[in-house]
Amino acid sequence: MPVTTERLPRSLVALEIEVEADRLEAHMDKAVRRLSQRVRIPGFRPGKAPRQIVERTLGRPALLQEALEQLLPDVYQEAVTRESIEAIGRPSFELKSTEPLVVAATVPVRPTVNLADYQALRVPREPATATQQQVEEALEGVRRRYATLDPVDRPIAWGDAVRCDVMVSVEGQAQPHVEEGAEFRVTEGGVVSLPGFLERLVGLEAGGPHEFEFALPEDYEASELAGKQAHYTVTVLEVKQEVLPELDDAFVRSFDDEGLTTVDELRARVAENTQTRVQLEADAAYREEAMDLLLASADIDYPEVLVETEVERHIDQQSNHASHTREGLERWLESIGQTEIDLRETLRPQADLMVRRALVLHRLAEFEGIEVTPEDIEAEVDRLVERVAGGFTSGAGASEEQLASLRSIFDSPEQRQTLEDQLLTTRTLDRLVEIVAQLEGGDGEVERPRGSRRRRGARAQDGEADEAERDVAEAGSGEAEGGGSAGADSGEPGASEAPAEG
Amino acid sequence: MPKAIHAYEVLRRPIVTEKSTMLSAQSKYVFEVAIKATKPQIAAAVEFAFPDVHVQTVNTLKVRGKQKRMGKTTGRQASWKKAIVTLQAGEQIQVFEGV
Repeated sequence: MPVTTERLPRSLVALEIEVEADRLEAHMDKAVRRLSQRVRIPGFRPGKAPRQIVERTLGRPALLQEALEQLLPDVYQEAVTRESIEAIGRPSFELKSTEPLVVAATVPVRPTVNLADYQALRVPREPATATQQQVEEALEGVRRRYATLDPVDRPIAWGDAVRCDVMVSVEGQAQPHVEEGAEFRVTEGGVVSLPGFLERLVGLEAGGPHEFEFALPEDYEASELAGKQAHYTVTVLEVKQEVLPELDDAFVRSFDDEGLTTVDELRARVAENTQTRVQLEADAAYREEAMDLLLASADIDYPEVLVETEVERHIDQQSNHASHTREGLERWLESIGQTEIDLRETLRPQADLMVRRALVLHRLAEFEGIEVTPEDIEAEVDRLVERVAGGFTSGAGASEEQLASLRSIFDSPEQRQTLEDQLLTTRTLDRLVEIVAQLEGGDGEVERPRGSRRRRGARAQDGEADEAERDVAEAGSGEAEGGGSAGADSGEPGASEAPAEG
Repeated sequence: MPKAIHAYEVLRRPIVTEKSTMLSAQSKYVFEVAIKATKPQIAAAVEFAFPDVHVQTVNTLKVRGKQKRMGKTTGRQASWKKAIVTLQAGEQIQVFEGV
């Protein structure tokens, strides 16, 4: 069975398989037997007609088709095994010739991901420090949360809360829309009622009725209203000003928090929180950047099926699994007003990116020997259970029963798989950040942060323990702390389970 | 003296059934023939139509048409003559003309 293979772009492999005549004949015979059971030939009971007769009544092409139905998967499987092709999708077949029988099959194979010299990738890391302004804003946010609204006797200004009777009629509408005692905030940039209304409200005195008219924007979403004149009659009943509490020790003490008694302490606390938030945001942005860089430097060849599967997954998720049945899918599509083709088209770029990211990350994890062990997952489950349990029974601790039921949520095989993926992704990303965050001029040696860590796997360089990861995330300034010194591209198999203390 | 009929008119069609297929293994071939055809005529016609074979015996029988009814009207299917032609041992005919 001569087979020729040819590698095509987009992770496809084209196989050309020539099937021997005897083999085809044998399958034709089988096909005849199967077919004659189904087909009524006059003069013969079903299944009793000899091959010649069947062939003459049905025609050779029909027989060939029937024979191929069984023959194709067989020879394909054989060819794939012999050529050791790792197929990851269904093949598409094409009949090249029948005498002799030559079949061309095209099948997607595992994507190839060539990471460029990722060890050399560097992304400058800007120290993320919360600015004074951000701290002040956060502080003001705290005050605003405890703000009171006090009635004032002055024209409406931005930031005020007002209560008023509003009657609005838009040109062309028969009935004016009336609302009495409407309470709302006059926030700059906000929209109440129709766009432009708030702007004209500012400066009005309490009382009224005030009348004004203005044109709605031409590009207003409700097209039947766009560009029309809106006529308002407003009686301002009350104007209230937002009064922030004084930032003094008394205010701080009202929080009833042991650790907070003075303004300075509050400021320090807020500054700290802001710093954490800024740091987290910066970390996330940095990860994105590192990921983008890795992605851009990698050479990936992957089959279309992967993207298709991803798109499918998306649809499945978005439609809440309505897409499991044809009718469900159609009903859902109708409700969101999109056709399947359009939807697929819109989801495609996103899915494409996801696939590429996943591929690159997996490859990186492979290179770096990052693995997630069952114990790691166990620990993660414990962590999750603990967090959720702590969430709803504040402090007192959940009962055994509750814990058990909580645990069962996370402890299904699918959940475990998800957790594993998540952990792997996080770890790989962390590792990536570690690599790219090294200082310029590093000699390719990856310095690793201190902390007990385990190494495992044949090419394992680095299977981080959770604490170590967090260390990295919190180290912040972008300089990797000195520690273990295993060159990441030395390719030396790490000793399994051996602690690599710095 | 039977009326002379041309060989093509003697042999009307081969009968292809399970039974006839089994008979062909014994070099016996079944045809529908003209109802007036005689055994010698059938033998001659077969040898004429298939030049490479020699007819040993011819057995014939008449298949009487069945009474058929379509609503009120009754009718009768045409009767016809079936001939089983035995060739010399081992001789074969490819009966695929499908006439």
